[in-house]
Amino acid sequence: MSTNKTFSIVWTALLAIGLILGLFTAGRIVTGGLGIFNTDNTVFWGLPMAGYLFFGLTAAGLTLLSSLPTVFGQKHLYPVAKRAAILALATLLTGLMCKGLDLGPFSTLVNTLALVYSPNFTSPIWWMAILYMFYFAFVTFKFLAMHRGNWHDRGGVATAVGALMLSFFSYLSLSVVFGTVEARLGFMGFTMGIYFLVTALASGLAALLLASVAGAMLGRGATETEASIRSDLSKYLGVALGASLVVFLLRILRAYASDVDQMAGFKYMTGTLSFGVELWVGLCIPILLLLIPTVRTTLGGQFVVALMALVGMFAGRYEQLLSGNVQPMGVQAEYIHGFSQYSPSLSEWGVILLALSLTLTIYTLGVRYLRLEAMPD
Amino acid sequence: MTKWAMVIDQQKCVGCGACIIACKNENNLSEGVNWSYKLTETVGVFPHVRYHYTPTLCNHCENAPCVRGCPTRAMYKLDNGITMHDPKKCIGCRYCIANCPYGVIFYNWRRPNEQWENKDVLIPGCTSSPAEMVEKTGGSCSPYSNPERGTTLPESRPLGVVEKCTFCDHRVVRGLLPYCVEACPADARIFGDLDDPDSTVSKLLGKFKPRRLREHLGTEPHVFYIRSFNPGSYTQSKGEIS
Repeated sequence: MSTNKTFSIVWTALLAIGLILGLFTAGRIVTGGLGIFNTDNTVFWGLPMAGYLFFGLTAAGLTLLSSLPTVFGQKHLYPVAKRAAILALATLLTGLMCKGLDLGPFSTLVNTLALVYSPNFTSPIWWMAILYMFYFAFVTFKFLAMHRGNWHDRGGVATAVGALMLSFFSYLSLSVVFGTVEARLGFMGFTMGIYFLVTALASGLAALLLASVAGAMLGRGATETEASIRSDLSKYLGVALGASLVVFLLRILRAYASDVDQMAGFKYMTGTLSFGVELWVGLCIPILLLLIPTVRTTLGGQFVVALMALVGMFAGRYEQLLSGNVQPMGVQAEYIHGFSQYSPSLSEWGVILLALSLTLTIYTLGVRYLRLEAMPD
Repeated sequence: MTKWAMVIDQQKCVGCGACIIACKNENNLSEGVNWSYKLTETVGVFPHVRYHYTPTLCNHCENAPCVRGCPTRAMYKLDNGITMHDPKKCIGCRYCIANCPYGVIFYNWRRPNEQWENKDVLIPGCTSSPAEMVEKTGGSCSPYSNPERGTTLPESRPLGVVEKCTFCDHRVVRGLLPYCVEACPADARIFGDLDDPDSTVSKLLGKFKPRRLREHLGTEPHVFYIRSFNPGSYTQSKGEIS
């Protein structure tokens, strides 16, 4: 049996196990609600919500990357554009699934119809929900247009521009969701919006680089052109991580320059594992590694930095959420002394496992059946 | 136009918790859900130390951030100033909890009052199971459930939605005071119409300098605090330098 075939069998089995365990968790949530989470009325948004932010913002970065050739004429990125498009579709779908599973049981999910018949235009969450629905539709249409080879006809360009604009506005609405929560300064107001922007680009670049490296390791996309693109993506990733580090430091400076009691949650989070992983694994070490030319040009080096950046970004989404709600608000302080000692339950990890398995399954199917290396004539 | 408000006289509140219990009974609240509660602060350094109680509930803010942020208008204002919640429109996003500066909105993580669904008996042939007790007493969600709560909201709010204090809107429409006000043995909670200059709340707000929680956020709470509980006295002096 060839190595590739063995890998394929093991990979498929792993994805199947992930999907089965994840679907089991999803079933429990839909039938029994969120009682199987460790979240409570203090930490009301936990790991699944972090999954939504991670996958949703990664999708935003990937949408930008997949639009660069079609919308902005960056033709040297053609070989990875379709790959970025399907990754954007997969991560957006799973991000929205994380948010859906974070809402609760089936009876609550039915109530989402109220978004249509009882809209509240002053609510950032309403705008976010509506924009993400359209965004998802446009990302799907865009991929279909690429797959049919209609990259540059009127429909292809329209869907590409539409998906790009909607990714910006969806990202904007997500920033407003956190930016306008004046009661919780730990969310960092609109500074979070800037952080979302730079980290969305960084995680999108890391995801695309990782997928490209994996493809090259398995013998797909091992051409010189693709090697050149991976080298470029590594450089872009270095710049994006550098920008992320600047905003990351801005958050720290803002928190420690403030005497406001509400910053205590963020300050508490600076001593936690997720903060350390975000800073060192996600930002500092990859930036330092990317300064080495060999790392930027070799598959091993690119694989390591991309994986580290993604792990760090995920830890970062978790840290950003908890910074805003780990400190009990108002009368909730009567139930919890100090800070909430929240750690995700197995079921919460199950949601993330489902999201990851589904993303990788969609991408794997794309690699096998959808000619992701295709380019316009 | 009537604008309901509450004044809490902290000189009269002794932190007994009667309001908390009364609220739980009136509104069929399950374990861990307290629409009415109290903040307990320890003031001073031992041995010169005392407790300071601040009763809490939904502040029914004029500029309610929970109402502004709710995507489906499940959280909404009545003309009389009460902030209400419609469980049939709630999508469980918990953005109201994020926006509420007072921590008084609760999400139903588990089925409310689920302990009363238990069919196991403690002593077979002798005691009733919790579910049998509910059946025998004719309660809906617990043996002591209050059916009057069901006139404006479900008697017990469903799994997967948020819930909070409604100023006992079901009692107020019938000309009754909120039950926490009724149950307070010290009359520390005073309820009335903010727009009526002759109401007790208006008179108290004119007589004492009221405080509101986290006022700087501009939420314009309709719960006011006056005076401070302190039964102590001290010997008059100008202090000392040493």
